[in-house]
Parts: sequence; C-alpha cells; structure tokens
Amino acid sequence: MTKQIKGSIRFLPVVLLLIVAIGLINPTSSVAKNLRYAVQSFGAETFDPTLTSVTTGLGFAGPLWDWLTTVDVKGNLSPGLATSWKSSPDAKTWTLKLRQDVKFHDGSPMTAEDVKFTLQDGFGRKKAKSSRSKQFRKKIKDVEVVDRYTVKVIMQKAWPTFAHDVSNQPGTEGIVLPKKYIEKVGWQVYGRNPIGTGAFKFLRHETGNIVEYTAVKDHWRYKPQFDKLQVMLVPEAATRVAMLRTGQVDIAGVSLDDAPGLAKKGFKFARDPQASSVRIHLYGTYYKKAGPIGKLDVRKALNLAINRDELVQTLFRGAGKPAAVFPVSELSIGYPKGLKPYPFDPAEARKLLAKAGYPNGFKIKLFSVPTGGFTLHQQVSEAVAGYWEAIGVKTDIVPTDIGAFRPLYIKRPQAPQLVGQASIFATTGRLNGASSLGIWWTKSRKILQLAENVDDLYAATQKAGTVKEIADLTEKAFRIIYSDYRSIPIADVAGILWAYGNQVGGITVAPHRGYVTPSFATAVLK
Amino acid sequence: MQRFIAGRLVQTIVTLFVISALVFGLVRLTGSPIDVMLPIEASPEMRADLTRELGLDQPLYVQYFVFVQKLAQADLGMSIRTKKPVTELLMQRLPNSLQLVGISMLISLLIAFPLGVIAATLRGGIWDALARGVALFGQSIPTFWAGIVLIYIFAIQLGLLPAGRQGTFANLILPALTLGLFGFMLAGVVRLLRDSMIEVLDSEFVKFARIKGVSETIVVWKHALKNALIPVVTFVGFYFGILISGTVVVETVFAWPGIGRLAYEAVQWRDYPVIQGVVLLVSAITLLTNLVVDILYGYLDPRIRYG
Repeated sequence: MTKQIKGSIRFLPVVLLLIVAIGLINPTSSVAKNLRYAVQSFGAETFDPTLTSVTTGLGFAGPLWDWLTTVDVKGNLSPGLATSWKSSPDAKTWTLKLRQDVKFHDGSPMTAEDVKFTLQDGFGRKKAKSSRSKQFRKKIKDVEVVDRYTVKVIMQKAWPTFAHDVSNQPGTEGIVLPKKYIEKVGWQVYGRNPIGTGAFKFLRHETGNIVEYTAVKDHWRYKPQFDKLQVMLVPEAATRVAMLRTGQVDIAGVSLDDAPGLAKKGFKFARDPQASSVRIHLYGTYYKKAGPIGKLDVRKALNLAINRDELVQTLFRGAGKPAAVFPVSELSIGYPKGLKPYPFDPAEARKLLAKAGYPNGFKIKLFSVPTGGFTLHQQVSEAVAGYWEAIGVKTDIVPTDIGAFRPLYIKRPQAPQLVGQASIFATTGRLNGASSLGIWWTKSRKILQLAENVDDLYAATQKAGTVKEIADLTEKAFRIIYSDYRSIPIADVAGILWAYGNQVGGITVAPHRGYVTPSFATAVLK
Repeated sequence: MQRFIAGRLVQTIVTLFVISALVFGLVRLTGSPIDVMLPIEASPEMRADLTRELGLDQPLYVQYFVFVQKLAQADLGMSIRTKKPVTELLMQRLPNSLQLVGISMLISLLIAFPLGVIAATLRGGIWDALARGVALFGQSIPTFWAGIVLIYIFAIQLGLLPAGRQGTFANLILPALTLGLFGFMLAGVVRLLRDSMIEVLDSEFVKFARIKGVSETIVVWKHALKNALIPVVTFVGFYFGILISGTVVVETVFAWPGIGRLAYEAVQWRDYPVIQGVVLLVSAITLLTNLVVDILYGYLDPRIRYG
C-alpha cells in the first residue's frame, strides 16, 4: 500500500504539471466579469486629452471621462456633467449649472473650479494641441466661478454653439479635468496616471499593448456591469475576428467584410451612429494651373462617372448610402437636407469631357491615403480609377501615408504636385457644419482649400448670433459646393462597427467625431 | 583574444556612431511629426510652437549634437507620441522580441539541423529531396498568410491555442511556429548546412577518420558537423539581429508587442527618438552578435587565430 502511494506520489508532479499546462493552454479561460475589447489603434496613446488631436485616442482613454453635455444619435443635446446651460441673448456669456454628485476617481468632488481650470489652464494653455484648443483659447475671454456648482463662461464674441461644442461629439474639449490633482502632480504625471469622472478608473497601461480600467461602482450616471475593462491593441483585423470567435475578447472593432461571417456565427453588432464621409478631394480647382479639373464640366464628368450605388452595395456591403456633400452628417448643424447624390451617367460624362476639350481624356493622380480609421482607401481608389478609366481619364494611383501627404495639402499655396490632382479621404462630419466648412472648403483658411466661393458665407457663420443662423449659412454654402461639383462625394459609410458576443448582451455607441468608441459603461452582462 | 575583443568593441562603437548620424538624417527626410500630431486646422503658430517644443526649429547639426550628448548619458530622449522615455519603451518591448525570436530560432534549428545533415548524408535520395522541399516550402509561404492559417486551424477550428496577444506560454506557440517554420531561418540553415556538410564530408580528414574505422555516426555528427557549422553560425548570428526588428508582420498578425511593431508605429507617427532608439538598439545587437559569432569561430575551428 505504502509502495502504491509512493508510486502515485511520484506521478503527482507530472499530473500537476499537466493540469497547469492545460490551464495555461486553454484560450477561453478568463476572469469573470471582465470586458475585453480589441481595438485596431490606440491613436496618440496619451491620457492627456489636451494633447491629443487625433480622437482615435477616445477608444483608448475615453472610458476615463464624461463630457459637460451629451449629444444623442439625432444630434439633440442633453445634460452631462452640466445639468443645464443658458446663453445670454448675445451668446457672449454662457452659464452652466453642474451636477453636485460627481466625483473624480481619487474621491474628490468635481466643482466649478475644475471647469474653469479645464477651459483656461487645460485646453486654454499654449501647449494644448487638441483639435479645437486654439478656438477655445481665442474665443474664451474669462471663466467665472459663480458658486461651487455654477460657472460662467465669458466669450470674446458670440458663440451660439458653445453647448454643442462641449459635448461628446466634436472632440475632447468638453471633458472636465481635475484641477487639484493636476496642480499637484503636473501634466506629465497626469498623462501617465490619469483620473477622470468616467465610469472606468485607470488601472495600468503598457504602451502599444493594453490599457486596463476598473469599474466605478458608484458612478453618477452608469452602473457598469463589468468589474474590469481591458482595451487591447490588436492591429490585424483577421486576428481580432479570431480572438472574438475563440472568446479571447468580448468586443472587437471589425470591418464590413468580416461582418457577414460573424453574423452567421451569432455575433451581434454595434454601429457607429455617425457615418464617415468617404470622398475624393480635387485639389486647387480654382488655381490657374489646376489643369482639366479647373473646368466645371470636367469636375461634373468625374462625378457622373462614378456609380455610388454600386460602391455602397459592393465595397461597403450596403452599410451606407451615396452622399451628395461632405463632410457633414445628418446630425450636423447646417446639413443640407434634400440634396440628391450625383447620378451615374458615364455617357454624359464622356460628352462633358469632349465639350470641355478632352475627348480623349487626360491623366490625373489619385493619392491613396488612409485617413479617419477608414481601411478601404485602396479598394475605393482602385474602384474610382476604374470608373474614370471607363470615360478615358487615366488614373495613376499613388499610395502614401498621412505623414507624407499632409505637408502637401497644408502648404501655402498648395504644393504644385497636388494642384490639379485628387486624393481619397474619409472623416466624420463635425457637429457644427460650419467648422467642416471652414476646415475643408474655404480658401481663406488655407487648409484644404477645396473651394474659393464659400468664404463669405463661412465668415458670416463666425459672426452669427444664433444656431439657426449658422445652420442656414452653412447649408447655403454646401449647396454652392454641390452645384459647382467642387469635389467628389462618394458615400456616407458606417465604416466602424463592433462585433460582440460571449458575455455581452448589448452595448450603446455614442456619436463622437472621427474615431468613435462604444460606451463601455452601457455594456450589458449576459 | 582580449585585444581582439577590445578592438572589435571599439569598432562597434564607431559603427554605432556612424549609424546614429545616418539614421538621424534619414529619418528626417521622411516627414515631420508635426504633420501627424497636430490637428488639420492647426495654425502656423501652433505648428511653430510644437516645432520649438520638440527642438526641431534648431539647425540639424545642433539637434544632432544634443542627441549625441544625451546618448553619451544613455538617454535616448522622450517619445514624441507617447511622452515616455524611449529607453523605457525599448526595455518594455525587447524581452518580448527576444522571447519570440529565441523560441522561433530554437524551433528552426531543431528542425533544420537534422534535415540539413540527413540531406547531406543521403544526398540525391528521397530524404534529400524532402529536406530541400521543406526548406523551399517554408521559404515560399508568406509569414502573414501562414500566421492567419495557423490561427484558423489551431485557434478557431481546434480551439487549442490562443489566436494572439501576449499572455501565457501558449500565446507564444503560434507566433513562434510561424516565424520558426515560415521565416527564412529554417530554409537558410537547411540549405547552408547541407552544402557545407557535403563539402566537409568530401574532405580528407573525414576520409581519414573513416579509414581509421571511426563510426559513421561519430564522423557525421561530431567531426563533420562541427566543421560544417561556420557558415551556419555566421548566418544565424546575422539573422538574429534582423529578426529582432524584422518580425513586424508576425508581431502584427499575433498582436505581439515587440520591437518590430514599436518601430512600425514610430515610423507611422514620425516619432524620431523612438526610430533612432530602435535602430541603435538593433544595430548594437547585430554588431554584438557578430562579435560573439567571431569568437565562436575559434571554438569551431581551432586553426582560426585572433590577431
């Protein structure tokens, strides 16, 4: 008996090793109530919202924060950290009432002092590089703390869309940062050990790999059903899908191509409520040296050559619709309702080219550049080149990246190698359509400079006293751009979607500009 | 020997210095981080501010002088993108790369050695054809595709292994297999070893050993193999350095946080300090590996003397 026991004991280490090995090797083993999310990019990978202009960062650091106001999928404003907001009749002073039960992750209460600090010393500081920090710095004259939970923001000039501009949709500037904590530890430490008012508290971060959060159980707004949130960087789409299918993650950003296969396996999807504007830019159309695209008939021909319905049904798998303008979405202020996408008429396109003096077509370069998290840039470029070749326009696709391409289009005047050429682009429209107008279309702001004849209207939007006035002026400008065929809208595409399964019963996606992120706090435990 | 090592170390430092100058200049030709980091609507003032903040407004020679000055203190600067010290980022990633490359090399060598020797000893036969076929197959299949196929089989269909990411040892198996079987290491070693062995097996000392009645196993596995290893060791040493930063495809497919992906991300963001750091680290590893290889020559062939 003793011998038998001794014999058995000899095998015990082997058995133990086997058990450990099986435990290690089992890919589906996971800690209960963890929400694991596989994301394609971490963006700038910083937790300091004043330093990130690229909102990809929201997938990475978004769970930390709340915004002063909230925009729903229809563009309606609702309370966030601010319970109410009121503008003076001249829209030069805004009074915000704050919630009184909001705490930062270190337990300190959020007060009006924090809002003042965020607007003046956060996004207002010279080092701030978020997309609208310059606008905030220039427009905000002063921030007064009226009482512990009331703040008055005094503007240099009328700012009727201020309440929209501090919402979750346009960017990071509506986040409230912890004054005392940042003053104590400094911005650099804050960037590594951040705290916020969001439903998830920072736990740890490994650059280029993973960021982990723990749920704030007594959050003022949400009751997260998961204890821990793990956001993992998985750049390859096929691997994200495999990890989802094998239960290694619960949510994954997936492409339109992967969606049908995952749907068959029973996975559900959360969609970006705000579509991405996929389009072709025509550069320098009003320059003397613009070449063929300087002529309206040529621009019209290039537009009529494209079968937008076909692209939506094939490349975009029906997850979108042909677009008439860009980059404004239906929830943008000033979205020109009722405009029909240009029809597909290659015969007419050929006639227009002949009429413009190019019966045998011409040559054009089409820069293929990945933007806005849109991954089908190369396929769209090839499809567009095909349509243009069919009407005789020889298209040379030039693959590039944003780092090499941006210096060309922001050059003043625009780089000669770009004038008269085209590029693909995809971004989400801003909540304030006038902002999109200024950035992409105006000549005076000299950023994209896609049109010359909308500057006065844009300038008027900057002096407008009401949201309606801004909306009317913006809409008018977009109609001019449309009738001038200034560039080539392709489609509004729900380019970003998330598949989920396993432990998740449902999830809501809030609209954000650019790269959106699921609102993890709304994830339901199955 | 000591003089040889000291001399090679000095050579290594000089080479690193030249590489640092080259990479410093070349990386700046590919574009500026200002264009990637700032929002599209950034004003010229914002661009100027950031340029100043990053020290990119200084003449190139001043920037290089500052870089070298910091380098002398083992400070590779701060990442422009993540605002973290480059050394910290490299030290976080290097063990992951070493782990992946180490295991994949082990897999390659464990398969390549028997295959190479068998192919040489049974040259012209079916085993030779098979060994060369395995080498050709491994070389012909792109690692990207092989990785996806392995994920499909072992993670999705069989559910035996995780599809990606770092974690337990199980997470390392598929990326290491992909790199070990479908990288160039396996194919390269099989071919080199086969050719080198054929040459050595035809040499006089091997014939002499056989005449003396030494068993064929000892002749092949002890005398011939040791002498045939020199080109293989050179190749493996050289390839090790390449693999440390050259596994970006496998690292991307398996979401493995190694040096390759760090370099790739840094290039995308024009994160100069990180690119410089990665290049210097990989160069240093390659140069030091070559030094180790040179020292190994002496062991493998005692006729080699170090002047």
